[in-house]
Amino acid sequence: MLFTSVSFVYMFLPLVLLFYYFPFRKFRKVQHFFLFIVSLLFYAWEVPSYVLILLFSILMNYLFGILVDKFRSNELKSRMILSVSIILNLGIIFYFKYLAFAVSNINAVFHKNIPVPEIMLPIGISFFTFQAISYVIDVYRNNGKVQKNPLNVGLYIAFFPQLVAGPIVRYESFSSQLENRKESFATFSDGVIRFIRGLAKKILLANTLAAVADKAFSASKDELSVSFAWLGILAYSFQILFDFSGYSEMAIGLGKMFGFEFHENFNYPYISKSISEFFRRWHISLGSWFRDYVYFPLGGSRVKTKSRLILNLFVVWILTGLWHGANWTFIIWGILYFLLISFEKLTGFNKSRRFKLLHHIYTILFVMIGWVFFRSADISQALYYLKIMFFQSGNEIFDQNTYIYFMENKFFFIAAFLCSTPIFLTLSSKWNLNEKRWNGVLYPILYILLFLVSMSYVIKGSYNPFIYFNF
Amino acid sequence: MIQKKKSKINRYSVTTILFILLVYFYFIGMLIHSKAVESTVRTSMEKVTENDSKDPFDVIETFFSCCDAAFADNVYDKFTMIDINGLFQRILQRKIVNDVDSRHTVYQLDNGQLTYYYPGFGVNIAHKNIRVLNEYLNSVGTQLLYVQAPLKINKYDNQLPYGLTDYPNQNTDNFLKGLDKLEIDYVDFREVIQGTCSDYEALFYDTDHHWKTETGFWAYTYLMDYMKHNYGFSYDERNVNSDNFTSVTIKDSFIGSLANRVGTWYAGVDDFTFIYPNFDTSFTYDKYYPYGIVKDYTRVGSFTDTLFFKERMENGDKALAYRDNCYFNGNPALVNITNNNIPDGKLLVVQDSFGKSITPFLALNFHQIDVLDLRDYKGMTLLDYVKENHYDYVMIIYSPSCFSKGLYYQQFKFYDYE
Repeated sequence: MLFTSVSFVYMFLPLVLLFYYFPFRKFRKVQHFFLFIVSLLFYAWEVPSYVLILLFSILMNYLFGILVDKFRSNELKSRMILSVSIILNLGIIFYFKYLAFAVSNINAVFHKNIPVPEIMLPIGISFFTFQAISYVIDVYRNNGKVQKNPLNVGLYIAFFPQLVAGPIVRYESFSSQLENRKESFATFSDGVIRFIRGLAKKILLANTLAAVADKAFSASKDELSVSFAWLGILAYSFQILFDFSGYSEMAIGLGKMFGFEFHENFNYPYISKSISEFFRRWHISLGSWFRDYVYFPLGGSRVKTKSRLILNLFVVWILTGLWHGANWTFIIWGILYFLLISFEKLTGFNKSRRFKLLHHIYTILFVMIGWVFFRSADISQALYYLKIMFFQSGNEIFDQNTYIYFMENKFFFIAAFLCSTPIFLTLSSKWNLNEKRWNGVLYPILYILLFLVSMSYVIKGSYNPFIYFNF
Repeated sequence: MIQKKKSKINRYSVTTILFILLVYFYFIGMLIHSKAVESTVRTSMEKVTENDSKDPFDVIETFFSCCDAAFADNVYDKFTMIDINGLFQRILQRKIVNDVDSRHTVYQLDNGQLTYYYPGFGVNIAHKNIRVLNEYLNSVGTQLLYVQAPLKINKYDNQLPYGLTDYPNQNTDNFLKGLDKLEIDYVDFREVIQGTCSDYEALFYDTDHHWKTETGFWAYTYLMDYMKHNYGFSYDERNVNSDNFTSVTIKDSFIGSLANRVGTWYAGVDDFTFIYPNFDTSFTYDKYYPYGIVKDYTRVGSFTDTLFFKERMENGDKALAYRDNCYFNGNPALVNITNNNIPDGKLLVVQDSFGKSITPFLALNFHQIDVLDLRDYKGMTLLDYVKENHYDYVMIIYSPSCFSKGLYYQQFKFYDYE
C-alpha cells in the first residue's frame, strides 16, 4: 500500500490508529500483535503472495536469533550460525534481485544461452532483509536481547511505516522501544507534522519534478538539448531527494504516531562540501548500516596500509551500488563514489575548510553526474546524456522543452531549492519565529493547506512514482 | 524533536487536531459511501475476474486493487478536492495540468480555453485501412465520406502555450493528404470553419474538448447540404431549418470533461444548449452491448423519447458533468436507429464523441442509421460489418484525437491486417 493513496490516508491509517489507541490501548502485546497483522496487510496490498517471503524471512531470522543466543558461549558455533543466517538472507535477495542480472551477464561474457529467469522483485526486499540481518548480528553482538516471541521479530522486520522504503531501523534501537516506549500527544503531534511534511515533499515536489526528469530521460539522443539535459538532471536530483526523504519523513512520522522513534535518514545532503559529507547526510540509515556491518568489520579506515583502506572502501561502495539495483549503472554509480571518497580520504580534501564554494560546486557536480548513472536505463544512455550535458554531442544548446518545463515548474524548482537547504530553520531561529504569536495561527493553516493540497493530488490521480520501492 | 514548547495547546497540537478531524471526516465520509464503495468493488471484480486466473493470491490482489480504486473514486465530496487542486494550479500559473494518464493531461490555451494535446504520430496504418475499406465500398457501390471534426487547437492560430508544436493538426493534415492521394472524399471542418466563421473559440466549450451542440447542429446542416450537392442525396429541407428545432440554453450548467479533471476553480463552467426537433418524429432506437449481439435496450417514440435523453436537462440550477450525453446517453459501441417516417436511405456512421451532436440529427433524414464506435465495439472488424450490412453511405466522423497512441490502433483497425 502506498502512503500516498486514499486507501492509506483515509482508511488504513484512521482504522489502525482507532484500534491501537482505543480497544488495545492498555494491552501492549495486543497492540504489537495488531500492528504486526496490519503490517502484513499493508505489505500484501500490492502483491499478496510476497507476504510469504516476508513471513519466511521473519521466521528464519527469529530462529537464527534463538540459535545465536543459545550457542553464544561457543564462539565458533555462534559465528557459523551467524554466517549461515547472513548467507541465507543474502541468498534471498540474490535470488529475487540479482539472479536474472547474473545470468544475463554470464550469457554475455561466456556466450552462453542460459534462460534468464523472470522474477518479480518483492517490494522493499532490500530494506527488510537488511533489517533482518541487523537483528541476528545485533543479537550476536549483544546489542539487543534475543526475542523469544516471534511476533516481536515480526514487528521489527515488518512494521509498516519503514517496511518498504526504510529508514533501515537497527534492531538495537528498536528492541528497547518495543517494551519501553511511551506514546504521548506531543510525540503524536510531532509524528503528524512529520507525516504532512513528508507527504507534501513527495507529492508536491518529487512527483511534479519527476515529470521533467522523465521527459528529459525519455528524450531521444537527437531531441535532447544541452539545457534540457541539465534541467532534467536538476529535476531528478530534487525528485530523488524529496521522493526518498519525503518517504522517510512519513515513515518517521508514522512511527512517532505509535510511539516509536526512528533515526533521521536525511540531513540536507545538498549543502555538503564533500562527497564524504554528502553520504553522511544522505540515506543515513543505509550508510551507517554498511559502516557498522561491513566497513568497520573489514577494519574501516583504521588499517595499516592505504591499499587496505582502498580495498575496504571499494567493497563498501560496490555493495552500496549493487544494493540499489541489479544494473551496471548502479555499479558504476558505486565505483564513482568509491573513487571520489578514496580521493577525499587520501588527500584530506573532505577535511579542508578552504574554498568552500568550490568544494560545494565540486560536490553537487559529481552528485549530479552520479544521478545520471542512477537514473539512466543503461550505461550507454548515461554516457550519451553526459555527453549532451557537457557539450560533446553537437546537440542544440537551448530548446522549447527547456522553456516550457522550466516555466511550468518554476515555483516548484524554487521551492525544491529552498527546501533542500536549512534556510527555513535558519530564518526561523534568526527571526525567533517560534515565539511570534501570529506564527501560532499561520503554522496550522499552512500545514493543513499542505495536507489538503497534497491529498487533492492523490484524489485527482496524478503521476506518483516511488523511486525507492524498487530497491 | 520538533516540539520544544511543553504547553498543551500550541501550533503543533492545533495542527494535529485539525489533521485528525480531517482524516476522520473523510474516513466517516467513506463509511457513509460504503454502499457505493462496495458496488464499485463488486463491479470491478466482476469485470476483472471474468478472464483472470483463479489463483487465490491473484484474486486477493485483484480485490485489493479494486478496493484502492473504489476508495479513490468514492472519496466524500471528491469534486471539492479536485477544485482545490485546480485552484492551486491556477495560483501557480500552470498551463499544463498533468494527469496520471498522460493522455488526459490538460493544456490551457492562451485564450484561456482548455484542451487535450497529442504528440506527433505516423498515419500509415490509417491510410492502409481506409484504402482497403474504400476499395470494398466502391466495389459494392457504397459512398464513403470521411468527416474531419476540428480540435480546439485552431490550425491557423493555435493558441498553444509557447514552445508546444501543433502536432494534432499536423497529424490530421498528414492523414488528409493521404486521402487526397487515395481519392477518398472528405470534409475538413477545420477548413470549412476557417472559411465561414471568424470566432473559432466560440464554437467550443471552454471546459470540454468538444464542439458545442450548436456547432454540431451547424455541422449537420453543412453535411446534409454537402451530400445533396455532391451525391444527389435528397431530404426534406425542413429538417435542416433551425426554426423547426427547439433550442434550450441553461446558463452555467455544464462541467466539461476537462473541468472534471482540473476542477471548476481552474476551468470555470459552461452554458449548455439542448437542441431537438419541434416537429413530429418517430424512431426505434436499439442499443447493443459491445459485442453487438445482445441488445441492451430498445426505445420507441419521438426524437426526445429515443435519441435524446431528457434527464440530462434536469437540475438546471446546478453545474453538472455529462450534459453532452443528452444524445445517445454517452458513446455507445453500437446502436441501430430506424426512422419510421422515412422510407429509405441507409447510413453507417463510424464516430468518436464528436459525432454525438451530429448523428442524432442525421437520423432525421435516413430510414436507418447504424452508429459504431470502434473504441468499444468488439463484435467484428468494420470491413466485416459493412460486408454483412449493405449501406448506401458510410460516414466516418473523427476528431484529431484519433491520431493519438491510445486510440489510433482501435479507431483505424478496419480489417484484420495483423
